Amino acid sequence: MSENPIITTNRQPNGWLPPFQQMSDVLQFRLDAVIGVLRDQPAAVVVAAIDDPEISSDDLNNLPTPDVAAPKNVTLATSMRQGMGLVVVTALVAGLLPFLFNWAIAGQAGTALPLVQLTRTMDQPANASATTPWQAWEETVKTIAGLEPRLPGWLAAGLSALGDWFNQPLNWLTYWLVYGLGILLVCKLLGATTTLQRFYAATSYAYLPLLLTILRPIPYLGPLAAFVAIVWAFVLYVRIVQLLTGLNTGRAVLSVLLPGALALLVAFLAVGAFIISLVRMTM
Amino acid sequence: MLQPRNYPELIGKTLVLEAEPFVIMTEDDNPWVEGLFLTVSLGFMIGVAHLLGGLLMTATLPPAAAVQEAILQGWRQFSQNFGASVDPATTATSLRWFWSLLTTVSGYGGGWFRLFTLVTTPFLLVIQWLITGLLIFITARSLGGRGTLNQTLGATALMVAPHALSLLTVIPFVSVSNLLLLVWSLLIVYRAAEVTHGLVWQRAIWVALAPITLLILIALLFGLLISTGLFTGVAA
Repeated sequence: MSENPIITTNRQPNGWLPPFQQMSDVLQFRLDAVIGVLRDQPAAVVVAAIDDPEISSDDLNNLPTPDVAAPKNVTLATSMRQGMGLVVVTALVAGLLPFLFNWAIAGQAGTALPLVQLTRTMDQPANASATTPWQAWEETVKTIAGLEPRLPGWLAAGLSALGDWFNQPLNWLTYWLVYGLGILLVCKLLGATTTLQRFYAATSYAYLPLLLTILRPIPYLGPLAAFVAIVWAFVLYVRIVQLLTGLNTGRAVLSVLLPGALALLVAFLAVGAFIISLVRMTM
Repeated sequence: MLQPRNYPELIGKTLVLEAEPFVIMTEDDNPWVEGLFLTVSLGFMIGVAHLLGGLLMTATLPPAAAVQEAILQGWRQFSQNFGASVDPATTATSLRWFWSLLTTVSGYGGGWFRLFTLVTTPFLLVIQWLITGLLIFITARSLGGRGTLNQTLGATALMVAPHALSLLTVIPFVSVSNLLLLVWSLLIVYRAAEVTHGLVWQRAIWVALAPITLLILIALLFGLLISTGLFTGVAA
């Protein structure tokens, strides 16, 4: 077999993360600096975009369709690789304080975090008034949480909190990629002409406001910060989709909400069908 | 031949759907061997990560026997309070059997069973790759694709790239969503069909959807057969 080394030339600006200035611009809704006109982009980005087989010349030059007011020659100063890096790093930073908080809580209890979380869930006021049979299970969970783990308590707590922390970027990647694909499909159905890589690169910036969720362990401030983060991220996502695809605001909002609504509908139908089947089988 | 030290970069570029890894795999002089080696290597490493992560998770939890006792105690109390009509002794035996099965299969209860992951993970990845590669080749050629079976197998082997995230399962309680793996693999297969067979994106989408469509059809068929069997059984 012949030698076939990977070409290591990196034409993307700044490897796995976009420049800090671009992140700052996006947070202030100065999106033109990030999603701009192709001819205004640095040469390296233009070359990278033209080299990409997914971005055909007709894709670059004939974006608008008759029914949508798409901007001309839209491209990004960000690559999908930077988008992915951004989502992962944002999720890790946003999870840092909760990780330390979780470690402290589970360390105090001297057990693994999921057991502590289960116990705390059962201690919620809604469950406190539960009838006697369920109190037996509450006691069971508390008993299990009180059992000594094989490792020292602080280490078991730390490792489980670490696992919980690392789940955050994986979950955010799932939203970014899976939910993003749903949104892209709706956009395509509504007449947008953007490509996969450009869509993912641009929409990754919508995860930046979620950095505020780092405050979530703090009482009162945490839930408020989370609410602000979600609203900010949603508005940013819609604006990015709008700019990237040329769809009007209504269609952009529809494309962002529709996949979620459909997923909910399917879930309701599936649960409903399951319950009906169970009832019919027992009758 | 690709050097294993290049795999992280190859996987990284595949994950962000760059064309280069697909071109490299397609233009290799033995793409399917390259694909097999990549899949088995990654599968084995994921298996090792699962094994170590499982051991660490077991160490962070209380002993399985103590947990079983607590559950049985809870069940006794529950049946006393709730006045359950089933015989507590029978239920306790069933719970013990189920718990023993669960802890053996998951490795929580100790034993050698968890070593199976070293074999099953690469094996399942190889099977998944071969079936997908074959289906992609057949569909792509029927839609006017130009790639050979060997090239298709090489390029579609990159669909294992998202599974590299499973290496994180070496940390206890980390889990990678199957939906994420499925959708990401689907996107990679789409790019593989596009690059290897020179298809336009609309056709590449149909090609990429072929394996998943077949899977859904098989699942529906099985579901239909099972429900028919159930209803027949209930009616009888």
